[in-house]
Amino acid sequence: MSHELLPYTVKPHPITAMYSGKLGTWLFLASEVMLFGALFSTYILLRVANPVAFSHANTHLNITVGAINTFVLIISSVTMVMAWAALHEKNLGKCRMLLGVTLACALFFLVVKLVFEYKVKWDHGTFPSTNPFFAIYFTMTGLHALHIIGGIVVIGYFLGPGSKLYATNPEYYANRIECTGLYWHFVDIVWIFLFPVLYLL
Amino acid sequence: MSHGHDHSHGSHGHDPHGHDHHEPGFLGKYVFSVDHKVIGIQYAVTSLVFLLVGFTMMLIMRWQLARPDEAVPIIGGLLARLGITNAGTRSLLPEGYNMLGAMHGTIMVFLGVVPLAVGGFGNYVMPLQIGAKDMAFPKLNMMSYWVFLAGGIVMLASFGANGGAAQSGWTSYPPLSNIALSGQTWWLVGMVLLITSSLLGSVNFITTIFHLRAKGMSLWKMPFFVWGQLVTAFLLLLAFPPLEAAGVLQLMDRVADTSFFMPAGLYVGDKPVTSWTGGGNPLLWQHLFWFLAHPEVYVLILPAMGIVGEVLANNTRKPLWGYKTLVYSIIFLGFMSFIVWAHHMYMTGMGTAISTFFQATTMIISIPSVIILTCFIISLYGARIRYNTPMLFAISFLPMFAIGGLTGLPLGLAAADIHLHDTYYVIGHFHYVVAPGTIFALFAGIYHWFPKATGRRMNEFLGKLHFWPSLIGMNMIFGPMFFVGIAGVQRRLWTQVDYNLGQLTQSWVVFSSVGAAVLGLAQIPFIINFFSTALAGRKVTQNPWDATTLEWAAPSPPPHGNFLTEPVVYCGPYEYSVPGKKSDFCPQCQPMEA
Amino acid sequence: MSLLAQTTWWLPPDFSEHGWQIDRLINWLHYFMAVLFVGWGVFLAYCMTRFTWKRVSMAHYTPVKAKASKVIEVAVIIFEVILLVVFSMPVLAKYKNEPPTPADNPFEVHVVAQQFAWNIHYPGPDGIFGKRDIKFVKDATNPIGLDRDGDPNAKDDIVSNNQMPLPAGRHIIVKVTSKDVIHSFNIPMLRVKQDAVPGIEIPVWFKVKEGTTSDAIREQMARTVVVPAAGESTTAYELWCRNNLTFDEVKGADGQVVLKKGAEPGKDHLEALRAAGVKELRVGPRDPVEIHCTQLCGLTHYKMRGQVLIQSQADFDKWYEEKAKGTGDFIED
Repeated sequence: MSHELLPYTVKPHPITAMYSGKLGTWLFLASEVMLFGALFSTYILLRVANPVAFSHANTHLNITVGAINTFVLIISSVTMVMAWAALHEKNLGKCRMLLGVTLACALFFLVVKLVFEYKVKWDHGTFPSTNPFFAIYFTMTGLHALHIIGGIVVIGYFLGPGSKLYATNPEYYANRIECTGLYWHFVDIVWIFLFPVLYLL
Repeated sequence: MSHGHDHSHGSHGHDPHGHDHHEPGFLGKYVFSVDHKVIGIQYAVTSLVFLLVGFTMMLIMRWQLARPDEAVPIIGGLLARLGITNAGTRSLLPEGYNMLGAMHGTIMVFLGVVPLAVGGFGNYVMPLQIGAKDMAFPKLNMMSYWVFLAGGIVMLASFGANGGAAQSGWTSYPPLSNIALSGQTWWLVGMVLLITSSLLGSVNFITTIFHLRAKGMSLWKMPFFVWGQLVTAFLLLLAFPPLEAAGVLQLMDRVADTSFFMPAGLYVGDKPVTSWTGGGNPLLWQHLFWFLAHPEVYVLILPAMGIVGEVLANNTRKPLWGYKTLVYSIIFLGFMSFIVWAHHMYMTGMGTAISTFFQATTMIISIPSVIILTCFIISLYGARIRYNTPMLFAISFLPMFAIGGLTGLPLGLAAADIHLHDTYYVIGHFHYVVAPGTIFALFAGIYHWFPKATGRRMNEFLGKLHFWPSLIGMNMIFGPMFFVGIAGVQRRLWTQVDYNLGQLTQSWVVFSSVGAAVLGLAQIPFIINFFSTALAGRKVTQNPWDATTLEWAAPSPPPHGNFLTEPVVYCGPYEYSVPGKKSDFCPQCQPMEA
Repeated sequence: MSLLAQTTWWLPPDFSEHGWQIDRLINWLHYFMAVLFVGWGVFLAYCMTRFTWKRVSMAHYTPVKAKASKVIEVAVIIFEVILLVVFSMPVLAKYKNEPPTPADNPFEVHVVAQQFAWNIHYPGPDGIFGKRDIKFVKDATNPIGLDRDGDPNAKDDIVSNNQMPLPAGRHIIVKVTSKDVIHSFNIPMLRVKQDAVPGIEIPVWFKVKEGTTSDAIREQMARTVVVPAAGESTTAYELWCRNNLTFDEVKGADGQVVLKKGAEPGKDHLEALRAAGVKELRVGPRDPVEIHCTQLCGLTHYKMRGQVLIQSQADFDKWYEEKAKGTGDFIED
């Protein structure tokens, strides 16, 4: 593994106080902020231009389901932190268990999203093309769902084959879990913005 | 940074390149390599091929402009199969012209210049210059190359799409792009891949520059080139995502029939538009697009300035004049580039308050460019100039970029832009920045770092045979465009001979096309030089230019892991002709006393 | 050579009242750019010849004290501020913020762009524009969807395709929109440009100089075209005759009429012209003031060419009344 040659892969850099992966993750999240920032700007612009479509359309969203999903995601964020904390207690088993819970929450979120939200909309003949509200609704939640899927892949990897790294370099493994956590919190935060903006406002 | 050695690293420090693991095979070494140098060369070679492809497209367009509706020579028959030329007459079709126009822009910017400047030079040179063993995330680095290549292949493959490649310009303004044929969808998919690749790259660059500098390499000892790459990486990181968002929205508009960019009540061709409900705004795309695409201009120019800085300092044999001023200028350019985007949109009907704001920011952003150019030119005063091929290209960058930059002023002032907006003046302006500007700087870089990458130095005679006709050709192409534009002829015309003002400037157009042929011929010595040197060029020592920066302290070509002994930095990047020293340069990795 | 001799080097002629301000700004900018460029260039050339490898034994390590750079920067900043505040902003403000008042008696025209034509909509003698709706659009006869039957105001409206007659010496307001993609309404010789954005109607205003007519402009832009001898290249001849009309009857040596007055000479006439011994033709553009589309709008963007016919107010009124009588008429290109 050639990258093990490189300094600050595991230990934090004295000035930035971060190991490389963490700095990289933060930078990536900065670009993600710009991505979702552009979409939120689009939302504002569309809302200003189509006040009627927006004020009526969100009554068609199921606030209860949205709220349950919000709750589930917040739980998953907590279990993600706990998984990382478990590694500091040198307890890989607990860590993997908590990662499993996080993964389950993420899957639950996706299934709920797909079955109780998207499918219900489609059955009612509501599609992204219906009006500008549903256009931005499906685009933003869809992109968010892609991020959830990305998270599931990464968490699944570190829960399964990736956890072998713990045996050879536990600190490195903990770092990776931390970075995954950073990403996962970001995905949650995006949802915490999306929920009120799309469902409540 | 002085205490920058941690334990995990120390354990491997004795053997920076060997490593006892199995040697990677051919695929691992040259194809799926994680070594920044191999990836850099992959990027460079791929982007040079794309530059040639994009240039060929331009030649076909210039043929049509000079000889409207006449058979395209040599490849006219081949192009007919792609629906670009008329199968019977072999002349360029208007749709073929629009395809080539859109793809020329896209290929040159996103698949040619940026990957060469950032992916190629950035990847190869930057880690060497800061004394790193590799990029911070080597696997990510490899991935960004392959995603880039996938994007490039999708772009090229789109010529085979139903109706051909995208035809809505590289700017892809909706509603035109929304109602366009499937080539536009391919374009969007290609763009999303290219943007993803850039994002991966920029994360890697910034982390590498912050974390992997050699001992003693403080920020203010970094070569100007590294600063250029750093600012560029931030621009890519923060400016590209909005375009990615815009690309996703346009994809939705095209695939899922949303109306982000579609107003209600359109009537296209012979029927009303019914697939879209309306409610969107076509100008939203322009805002999102230019929010990226203006910083993108600086993505094109900052690495070029970095290369010019390196080559100038090396061949003037003196420190760059105003190194810190240069650095502050490019950082300022980077910031400002985020708040000038709407100067591309003066004619969309925006209010005077907004346009005044953007005019003011545009005038402000011209100041650091003036400063940078002035610093470079003053660097020549009191120098001892060595006129080798890289230096010729680097010096000619200065007046060429000056023309490109100055002609931006009339476009930046909205009142003058009323006449000049979307005319050939614009084409002349940005090509002077990017073609004889950036591309000349990139050529300077190729000639300058070729000995590092191959251990062989390119032939000087062929180099000069490449340089002089290129300089003439470039100016023949783009100089006349200012006259065509100022006469009022608009851009993106299949032919301008129907227009009165077009007829009055048609001789300029013919002149430009002759220039394009000159430029094309001028590349032949370069191609010969490139391959013959790589295979059998004159071998040179590890530091043939007597340069100071760290990459020249590594063997040529550098082995995996780059440096034989861990470099330690003692002095600034451009300690040339220090008084009282025997040699006229003090490498960064040697103490000044030595 | 005849090509080069008749080539334009700078701005096209301007027949609007406001255009000189734009031209002045463009000219001043180019003086300023030239000064800066020549200044840099001279210094660069000096350095490049003075500080060569042979003429210098060692470069100067200590940086020169270059006050000049500070001076340049400050001068550039001052000049740019002047250009922006004094020359650009007021012009733009007038162009954008000060429409002609009713007291100016402006004449309003609507322009509905489409792929690939300019539809010019005049309100007719009643001065009121009829309603437009896409549900009434019929491609050949009603491209802008004018409600001819439902809206009484539409009865006398005039819709013209690519032809835009305008009176000289009167304030004109053009409201620009598009029914499909984004176009850009540009009349270079009137220094007018405005994007035509679907879904939005954007006004732009100008005034053609009193006394201007298209006929006079054609005369002003007249040129002499050499008739190529047999075997010579016809490229220049064809280019210069394209969309150009003869001013006078062209007669051969034997007095026979080869080309009528106001004919468009072309490749087909070459034979006859040569046979009649005609060496040169005097021609002028058929439509000297053209409307360009400056935004890429699709396949035949290059063909999206309109014509402004500038007339005296009296001639214009005559045309206007005549056309308004033929209710429902659509004026073909």
